[in-house]
Amino acid sequence: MIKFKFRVGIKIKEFAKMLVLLIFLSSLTFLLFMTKPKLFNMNFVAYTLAFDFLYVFTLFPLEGASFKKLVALLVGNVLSFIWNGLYPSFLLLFFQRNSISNKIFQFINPVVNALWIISIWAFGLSLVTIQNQRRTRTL
Amino acid sequence: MGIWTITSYYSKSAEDPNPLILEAIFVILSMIILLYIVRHLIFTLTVLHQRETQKEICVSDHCCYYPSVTILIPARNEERVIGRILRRMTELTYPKDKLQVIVIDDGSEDKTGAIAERFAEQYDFIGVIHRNPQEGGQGKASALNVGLKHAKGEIILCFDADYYPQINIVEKLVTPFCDPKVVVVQGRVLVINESENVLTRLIALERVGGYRVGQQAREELGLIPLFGGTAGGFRRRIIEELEGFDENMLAEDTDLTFRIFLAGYKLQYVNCAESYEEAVHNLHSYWHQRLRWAIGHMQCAFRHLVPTIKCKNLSLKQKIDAILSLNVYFLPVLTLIAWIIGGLLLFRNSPLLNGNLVGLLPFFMYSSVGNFAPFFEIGLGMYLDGRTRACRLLPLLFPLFLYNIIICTFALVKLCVYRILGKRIGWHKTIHYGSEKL
Repeated sequence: MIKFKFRVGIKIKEFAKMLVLLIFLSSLTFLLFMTKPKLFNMNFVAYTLAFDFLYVFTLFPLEGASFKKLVALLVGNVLSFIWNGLYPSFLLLFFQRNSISNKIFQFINPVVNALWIISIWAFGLSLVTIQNQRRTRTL
Repeated sequence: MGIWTITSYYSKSAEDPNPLILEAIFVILSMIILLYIVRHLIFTLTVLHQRETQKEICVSDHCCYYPSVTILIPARNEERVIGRILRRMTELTYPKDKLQVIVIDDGSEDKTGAIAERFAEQYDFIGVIHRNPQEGGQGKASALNVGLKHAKGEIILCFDADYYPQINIVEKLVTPFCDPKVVVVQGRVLVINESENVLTRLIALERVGGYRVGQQAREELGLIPLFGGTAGGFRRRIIEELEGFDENMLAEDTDLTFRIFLAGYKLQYVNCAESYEEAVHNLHSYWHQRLRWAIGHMQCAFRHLVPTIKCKNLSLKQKIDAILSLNVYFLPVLTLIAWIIGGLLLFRNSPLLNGNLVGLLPFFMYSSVGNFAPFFEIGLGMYLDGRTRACRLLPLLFPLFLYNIIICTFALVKLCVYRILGKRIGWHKTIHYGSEKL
């Protein structure tokens, strides 16, 4: 029999809290997508969920004020909407759906999404953590 | 409508060969990249959630295990830094009667040998081996093998000439050897010249992700921590049993790691044993250093992949981790291929990439991974070190990742060409400047 033990070490209670928050955020995102699919499109859903997942599972377990964590989470979701919902609609005023420019936009879109996700995640990290915990080293 | 789109797509592409194959390759590559991201997420969560119960080996005043230790310092044209590490060797708290330091002057054409000789005259436990320029310069593995012949210690530790270890690092590195199963140890590497420029700051970020989180998580999860070839050590009898370092491998450290694990031995990572290194400070040096690492790692992948899969000494999770570690330098190349295929499919209106979600998912996914450690791994490593301000630089890892794609692709091409021609790839040494103040 193949044994495959893997213990990451997340406490059940902590995991349940994060899961509830993530389910709430996912439901909200899908709800928006179903009510206004042109504005809250599939791109918005995918990148917002990716951000929410990473943010909730990596930053919520850290010590720090929950309010600050939620603020950065909200900023990320709004930015995702601006980039994936509003900006492409704005672009369509100038470029046709199948034009080369639109294709190039689609091609670089994941990179730009990656960049805002990293930036907001890093912003969230520096916002929630205490700055004066700089560690001293024995040299 | 959907059926019409698909039908028209395939009838249109009848003259164009195998769109299905392209899509299949694209999906497979995306899955491979996703697998690496899941792996790094597991590493990050492990270190994050087990930070209070971490297996830190910290030496107290009651440490009573003092085996004889030999420290090997290979050095070739290192006149700017050799004095610093040798001065450090004289400051080590480890009993000097149990310590032997050997500098291997690997055919230096500068004052490296003379500086080392000055220290050897002053301190009994320091010795120098001089190789003439014809013998020297064949790589670190060759220099270490020469040093091994003169080593008398039960435990051998290795440091590069540009390193600056903690004064009690020897105690920290030898403590795990109390466990007879442990045959190799690896300490943590930090960057000494972090504040020099943006590149050195980014390399420092990579180091945090790689050591504080990556190596520590492998240790916690019982996977395969890697021996870095420096700031670490091994039992002398094991290296003798394995007949020393393989001089044909550019990444002799990774090669040794896999030979150790395949032989059924154990390597331990010691996070609190810290040593500072001088990071390369321009893109030209970065290119040569990473090219050597990439080629060396790829050589190891070709050599050890099949034995790893067949090995009975490794558990399933160790095998998976070993396979992923061995192939990590192929990943930027695979990402490049995925991007090209993704672009082709997008411009050909492939139904797979239709609807704007853009199956350029690999692009999105791996671009956020950066250089072999994703942003969240690095960020949380910085958090654990209490240095979250530096996380503002995280988005800048992206251009460095693009640079790594070019380096790794070039490395693969170079390795293949040299293999076909039957030529040996030469060792390109990193130049150290020792300009940072301590």
